[in-house]
Amino acid sequence: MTGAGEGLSADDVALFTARAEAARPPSQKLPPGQWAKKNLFDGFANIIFTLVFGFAGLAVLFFLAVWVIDADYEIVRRNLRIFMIGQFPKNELWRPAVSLLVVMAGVGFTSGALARNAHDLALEQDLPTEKSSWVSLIRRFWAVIAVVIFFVSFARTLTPYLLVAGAFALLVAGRELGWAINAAVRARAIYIGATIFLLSMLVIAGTSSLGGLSLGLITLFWVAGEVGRRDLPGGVVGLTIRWGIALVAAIVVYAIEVAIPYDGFGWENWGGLHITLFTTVLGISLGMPFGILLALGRKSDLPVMKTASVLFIEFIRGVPLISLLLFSNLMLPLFLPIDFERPADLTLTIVVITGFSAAYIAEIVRGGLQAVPKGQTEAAQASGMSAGSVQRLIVLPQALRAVIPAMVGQFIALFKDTTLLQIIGILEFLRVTDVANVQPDFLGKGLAPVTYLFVALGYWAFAYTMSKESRRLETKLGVGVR
Amino acid sequence: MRKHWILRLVAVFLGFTLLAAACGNDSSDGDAVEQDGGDTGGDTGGDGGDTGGDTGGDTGGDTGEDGGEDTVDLVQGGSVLAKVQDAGVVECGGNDTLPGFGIVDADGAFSGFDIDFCGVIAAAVLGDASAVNVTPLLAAQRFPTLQSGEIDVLIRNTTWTASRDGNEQANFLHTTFYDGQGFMVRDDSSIATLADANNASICVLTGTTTLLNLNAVLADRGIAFTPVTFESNDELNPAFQAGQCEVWTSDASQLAAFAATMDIPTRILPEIISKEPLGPVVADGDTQWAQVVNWATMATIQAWEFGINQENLSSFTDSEDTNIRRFLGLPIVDGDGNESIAEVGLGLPTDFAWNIIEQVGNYEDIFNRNLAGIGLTLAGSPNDLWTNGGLQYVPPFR
Amino acid sequence: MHYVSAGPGEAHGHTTNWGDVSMIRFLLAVLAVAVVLTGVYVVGRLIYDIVQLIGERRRSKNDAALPPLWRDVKALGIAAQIGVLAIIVAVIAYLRSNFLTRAEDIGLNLSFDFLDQPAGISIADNPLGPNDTVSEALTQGFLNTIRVILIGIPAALILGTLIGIARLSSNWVLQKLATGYVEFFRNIPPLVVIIVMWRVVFLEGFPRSQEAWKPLGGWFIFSNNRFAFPSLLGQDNFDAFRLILLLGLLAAAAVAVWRTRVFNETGSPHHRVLWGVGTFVGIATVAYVALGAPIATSKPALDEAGRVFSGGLRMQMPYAALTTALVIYTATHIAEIVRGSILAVHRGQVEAANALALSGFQRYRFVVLPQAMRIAFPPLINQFLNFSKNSSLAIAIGFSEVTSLVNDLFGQSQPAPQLILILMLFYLTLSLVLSAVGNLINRRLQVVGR
Repeated sequence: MTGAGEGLSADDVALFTARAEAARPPSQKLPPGQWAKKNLFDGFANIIFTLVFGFAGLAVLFFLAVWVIDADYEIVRRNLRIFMIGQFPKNELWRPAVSLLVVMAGVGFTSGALARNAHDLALEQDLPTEKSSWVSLIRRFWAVIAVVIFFVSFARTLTPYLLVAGAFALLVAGRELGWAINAAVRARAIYIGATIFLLSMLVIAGTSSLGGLSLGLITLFWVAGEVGRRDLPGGVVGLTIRWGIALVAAIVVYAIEVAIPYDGFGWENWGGLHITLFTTVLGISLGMPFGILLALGRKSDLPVMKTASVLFIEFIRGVPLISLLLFSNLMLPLFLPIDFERPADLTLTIVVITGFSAAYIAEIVRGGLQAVPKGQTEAAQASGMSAGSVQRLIVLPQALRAVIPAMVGQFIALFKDTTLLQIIGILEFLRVTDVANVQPDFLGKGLAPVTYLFVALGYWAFAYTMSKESRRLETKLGVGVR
Repeated sequence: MRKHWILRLVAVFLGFTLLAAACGNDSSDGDAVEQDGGDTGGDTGGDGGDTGGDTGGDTGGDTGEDGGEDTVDLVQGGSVLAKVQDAGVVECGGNDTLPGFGIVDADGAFSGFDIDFCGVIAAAVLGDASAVNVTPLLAAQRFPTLQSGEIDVLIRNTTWTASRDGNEQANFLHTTFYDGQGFMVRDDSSIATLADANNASICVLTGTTTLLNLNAVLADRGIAFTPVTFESNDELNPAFQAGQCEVWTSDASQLAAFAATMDIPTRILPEIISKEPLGPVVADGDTQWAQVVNWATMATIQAWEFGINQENLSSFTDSEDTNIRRFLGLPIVDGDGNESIAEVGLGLPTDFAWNIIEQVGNYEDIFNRNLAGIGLTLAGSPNDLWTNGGLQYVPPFR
Repeated sequence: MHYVSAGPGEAHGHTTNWGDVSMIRFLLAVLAVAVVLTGVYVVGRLIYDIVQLIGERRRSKNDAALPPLWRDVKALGIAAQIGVLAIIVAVIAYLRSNFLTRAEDIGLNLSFDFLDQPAGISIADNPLGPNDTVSEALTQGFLNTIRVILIGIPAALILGTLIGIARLSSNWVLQKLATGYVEFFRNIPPLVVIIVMWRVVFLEGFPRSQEAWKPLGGWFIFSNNRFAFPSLLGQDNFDAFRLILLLGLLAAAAVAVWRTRVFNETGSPHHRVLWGVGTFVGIATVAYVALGAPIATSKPALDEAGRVFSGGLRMQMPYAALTTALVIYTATHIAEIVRGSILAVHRGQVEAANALALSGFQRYRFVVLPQAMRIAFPPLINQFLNFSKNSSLAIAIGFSEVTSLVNDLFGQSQPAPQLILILMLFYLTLSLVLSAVGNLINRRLQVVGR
């Protein structure tokens, strides 16, 4: 059995698809008459298929189009802000605005820098490469761009238009900067991206505890990263020094930050599309380190580690997310010490979602670990590397590179799963439809389908674009082709 | 090989013993913990009761803050009043999808009848009706959330029943809305009274007392029915309109509210099968906080009885009526010409009623602002003042 | 009288025989035993390793080749394990004590006695009444979940396979439609599909039962309250007939095996499907005539008030909406798997089949699909598991499967910790059973091939 035998969902099969499609001969251009004959009217059965399905498809599209054009979008127009950021206090709207601008600049910068890194690597190895043109980027991200324009077209004031334009401008500028900046900075692109994301979280939440958390995490990764670049003794000693310094620095920053009292308002008021995207990003990025640890644990020969990892992974994967969310809401607070206040619902949820994605990421990473040829490990051992170094420097980088597309798949899955937050009463993107439909002006007007259309398009655009990107990455990384 | 076998066996045996030992310890630990916990619980309960008695009895001259501090040491987890005053905000459990009672408007703010009563409490305690943080709760979350202390008060269409007062460790306060379970059908339906509804499918919410009542009453009357259950009204409403069920049973107020918004004509059946008193709920164990919430709520009704509303409030500064002056916290001149302000010792500011009426309004204001728009009328309903033949009657403010 | 097909939503007698308290308590007992056994295994292995290590070091005490203890990989491994185990035990003990303190503080009932209390819940189309116990209610919830899965997974498999093949069709229209379907439904959350299917398609798309649509002379009834289909109803001698049908099935299988053997030995065409079906139909016909029509068709009916459905096979609307939505959603994933697996079959295989002058159908049936099946099966098991877990989304539309039932029970003040434990246990069991069955089939598929 191949790696696919271990059951990594549809992603493995997607590899086969990518491989098979790459191997296909390029299609020939036929004149329209011949093309129609070959593709539409080739034989009796084909003619029937073409007529029946063609008619049915056109009919569905026609009625859908008529309905979409005819529908009354006032409910969306009036509730646009709730759909986007939930019940964020009205006089603090600069926070999400600034946060959006910061994040877009960060996304632009990181993607530009990563693209340039890949570009340079390809040049080094004499592979064909070129900078993606803006036209090709627009073609790749058309769905998200179209939906953002669709969404913003419901705005009743100028501010959202300006905000989106500004965000787009910063995205472009960030990308160009990331592409142009020197290699030393580009090598730290991921850290910079994560820092910017956490800073945006600080801006939007603005409480000392959340601020301390985000700044502490930033410090942890930066210090660990920078110390890791120095020559350290190998093995446990090096690891201890590296993470010890990082941890101390992070705790100091956290303590300083928390000692400064200032008050934003945590994340109790978050909602809408913002909470959906935020929970997804945070769930995956927090789940990643735990997932990798679990995967290594599951591959380990040590029974304690192996049993614990297997139990955790199989338990989480065996129960539906709803039951875990019910657990987070009704039971998780019961495990806290008695003098602890109950944390915000979102905090509880993120704890559970982190564990949830960790279990799934662990299985993905395990598939990647299996794909690394045994010769790699053996060669590394033969050259006298310690067990830890073999994993950290040889096996994991290759395994993680191989599973990037599957990881994007997990990201999409979690993005869709965040709809379940409504079951425990969090005002995520989908639940805004419920809230909007009971407002006195819209109650009983049968406008629910309009809101569902709006929401479904939002989910679709993001998920569709990401799945396209993951397939593109697959081909580009040559996963499964080697 | 043989030796390995024996070794393995010994190891497994040893493991078993160890585990058994561990478990044994565990369970005895557990017992100890449980016992300790039991003691603590008992003590605390006693203290709480004492505190309540003391505060109610002899804090005549105490200010609100003092009352709060006094109880901090006595009530486990601190007194809610002190906590609210410290935080400067009332944490209120509400609803975000119940028309008239709790919704989110297009600005993202909560509004509704229940939400206004959250504001009443905030106006009374903090002098600012907007100092409210509403947490929307699902039916199943209500009592666990109240018990956890995450919310200070629950005002979310919650029916006062004995078992909830007892089992859920909840303390139900003055009823803000007298409701009863009714039935609604389409106008063209063949059902005229409940007896005609034999074999009909009936839409009903789960996790509420409605379903329990329905089961009990219809079984008594020998009426067979098919329940069609829903989590929330925004799922049930389209189902009823589409005719998925012939009858919709719920609190009569909600039926009226939804009927007002429907395109199809509907009828309410004559039978009301239950009493559904809805009002604010606080957690057991803090009598002072319960009194604060109770009197703040009742002040809206007292104001209505006095004829004081949001519009004419300022004209009462010159009122000659001592009862009104005392109620509004205005200076009272006694026979000797000494001015004094009445202090009832609830831990509330003396002008709490004034703040409530100024910022939120009296009961009638609140009712008409939120419920008139969804088709409910106050006059002649059980929620009318006792002087008009209704049920709203509050103890005197003196 | 018997229902031949007691399908979803069918009101049949109480299934107290296996669904009592005993089932839940049995699962709980199994869980406890599993936890204890795991503990014993882990601690036992650890002790075994330690004993081995000590033995090894004692035997070779004077052997200079052995590294010092702190550099011995085995010793380090044991030390690390003891450390991790200690941390795990400490964390669990800490959480447990917190939990017990808090449970005591808010007066949480931690016993399982509530299982025997009345649940106060009734379910549409189900004999369950408000006076039945919590465990009875939970059991009915489990059964409803299983009803969704039993109908939904085969349906999703069939639809998904068809769409997957359509995506590879040479017909442009068909291929584009299939692609559009997959790309659309795969990228929106299943919960959105379910809610739209329920509120828009099923509630608005079908007439209410007073104006029910009764095509084909009333053999089918469609309304937004119920769907009803004709079904078969057992008459006299039904038990005997059922037994004979079973025997007929066995006989058919035996004939098919015999034909296969003949084919393997002589090479003459086996036609085993034809033979098998022929045997079964023959036996069934003879038995039907001999026993004097032991089954009759049952035509669904609706009373004049449009309230009472009787006869036939009846399906309640939330069930139909949930199952349809999940089938539509899961089919997109299955289609991708099927398509990928077909593409993954080596091109040489297809070319070889062409060279043997096999027809298009034969090429698919005998060369491509069997190989594709082998590739597709493991990821398909995952989709089946996803389907069964996604059935819990019924909580959003009020179909009383186990998750929404547990949620209802929270609302009736039943204790959350025990209910969540039972809920998780049920899904774990379901996942284990499904993946065990899947792996069994998978192993068989793989072995046959190589």
